[in-house]
Amino acid sequence: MDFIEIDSKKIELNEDGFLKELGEWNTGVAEAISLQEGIELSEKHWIVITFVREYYTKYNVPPMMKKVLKSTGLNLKELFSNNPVESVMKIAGLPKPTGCV
Amino acid sequence: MSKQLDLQLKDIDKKTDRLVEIDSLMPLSAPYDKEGMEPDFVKVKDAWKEKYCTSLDGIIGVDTLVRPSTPEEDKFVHKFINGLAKLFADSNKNFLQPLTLTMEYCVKCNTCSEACHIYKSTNQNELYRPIFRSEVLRKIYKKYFTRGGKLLGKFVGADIDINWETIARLGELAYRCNLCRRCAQTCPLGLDNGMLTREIRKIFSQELGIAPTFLHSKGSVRQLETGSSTGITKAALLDNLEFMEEDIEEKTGRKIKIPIDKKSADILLTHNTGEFMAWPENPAAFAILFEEAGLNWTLSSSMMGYDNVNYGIWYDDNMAQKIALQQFQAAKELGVRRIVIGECGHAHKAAAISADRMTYGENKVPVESCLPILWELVRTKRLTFNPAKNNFPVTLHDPCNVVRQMGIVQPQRNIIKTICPGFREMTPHGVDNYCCGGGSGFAIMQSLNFADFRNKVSTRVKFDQILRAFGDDVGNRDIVKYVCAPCSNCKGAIRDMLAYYQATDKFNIHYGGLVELMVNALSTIDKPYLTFTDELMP
Repeated sequence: MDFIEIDSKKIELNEDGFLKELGEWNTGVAEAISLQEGIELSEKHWIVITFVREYYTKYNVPPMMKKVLKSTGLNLKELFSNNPVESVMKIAGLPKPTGCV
Repeated sequence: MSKQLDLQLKDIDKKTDRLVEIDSLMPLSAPYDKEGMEPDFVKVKDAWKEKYCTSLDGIIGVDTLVRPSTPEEDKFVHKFINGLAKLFADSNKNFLQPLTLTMEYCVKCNTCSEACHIYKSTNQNELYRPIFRSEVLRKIYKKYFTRGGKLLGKFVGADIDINWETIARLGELAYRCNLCRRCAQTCPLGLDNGMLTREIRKIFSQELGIAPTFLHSKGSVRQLETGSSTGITKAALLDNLEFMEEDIEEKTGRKIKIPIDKKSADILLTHNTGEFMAWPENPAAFAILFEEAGLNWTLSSSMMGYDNVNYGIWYDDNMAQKIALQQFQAAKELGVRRIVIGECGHAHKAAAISADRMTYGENKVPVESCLPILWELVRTKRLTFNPAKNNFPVTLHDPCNVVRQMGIVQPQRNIIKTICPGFREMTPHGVDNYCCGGGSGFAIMQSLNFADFRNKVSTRVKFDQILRAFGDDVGNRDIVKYVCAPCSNCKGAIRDMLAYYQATDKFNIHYGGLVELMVNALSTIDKPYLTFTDELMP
């Protein structure tokens, strides 16, 4: 089992690198996961993370990335990775997207 | 571990870390004919070996097929054998006859092997020969259910040990086939190794409760709970539609109100809900075209009325039936005359073919494909086009479910030939097409290292076809190239393939659906609909 360690507390990740217990997420966890992804979080990243988390809280699904882009005006590929959807969800402490997406 | 050409059937029970290595891959066409143009396989982690069945080819497709404790192994084997017996009972009504014929009449002529894109892409790896898994199943069947097998064992081919490893390997092997049924189409005896593969998946799901998470618990089950395998609920759907309406206005200047839950409409259009999240320009394009043509149509926002997917047809008859019947019910309640399936291949087959006799009469709503309807709008000039707007090379990927399983071949071609002067066919195409490599759930199985198998093996022949279709234009970065794939799953597989091989970044190869191309060429809209800029960049 993979995990990240914060203040000597182990937080479990599943085999695809997503949080096992979504409730364990906090900003420190986001920082730690993003480092594993090779990303250093900046203010811009946080705008995206906050947007995605708020949307998820409201609808229980990830927003369409086009909407994230339009609402934030930020370059998701540049900020996150070639697969920004997975990367954002992972760092935001949300589950891996499902279905034909 | 065997070299891939040395593997023999009786090795299936062999005590080894890995039965076979994928040690050879079909060379790709230019410009991918040089070393270092593709990443290597991800290394199998030790923790994975302990937990999953990595002893087939090192790939994990079935993330719920986990190693039980020793006492549980016998129970597992027993349940599997029990499930195998049920496949040959009357209750397996739709499949009993083709299954029995396939089991009994194969003469091992290997015509099917030549037809299989997975066998081809691995330079004839024995493991992926379509009849390899069928032969393993035959051996197990013989051993348990024939007098000869029980008495004479290895003299009649019932010569393998049946234990967890053997059966788990067969379970994994059932997820190395896209169920595209190109092998069945070519079999001189009409036998169907694709269907037989699905029967194996059925034993695992229906008897052992084992199916890939993204197909079952986060697929079919999620769809029945929330309305969609994506988890999109009514509220999220309405939010997405509102966003799409704004986007349509920005792009085309048109104010369109997408009709929702319109009672007694002629057409209930259903989409793969993945479109709303990943490719919203596709359902938006449908709305633009249907409105322009003045069709009496609607979307549904009711539970099971908006997501047309039915993953059950890939692995589980009961799930397939549950989903299909509820989808009919949603259409029935709305009082529409017919259901029209948008650009989703497996939904075409699920609703129009698989579900055709699941219910009848009052409970049934006629199902049609969007493609002949779209062609009719083009042919009768209810939609008019300026083909010069699609002035770039276009090739067409045929979704297996649309061509081979349903025989819808010409409408999509007629449309493209009318609106795309730079159209060129892939070779082969139509009913002889090759699968995109994402079929039967592969496009959405994103766990562990399965994406490696998809990107390097199952999509390989399709990627090569794309390269060959564009020929010399591939190397010219200034020329935009468009792979038209009118199916959500195919698009998912092609998107991942183009990203894996960096074909968009390096060679300007793009992909998308058919209706987007149509809107792009509409003579009544000035601005281009396709921009070919990265949709995730501002």
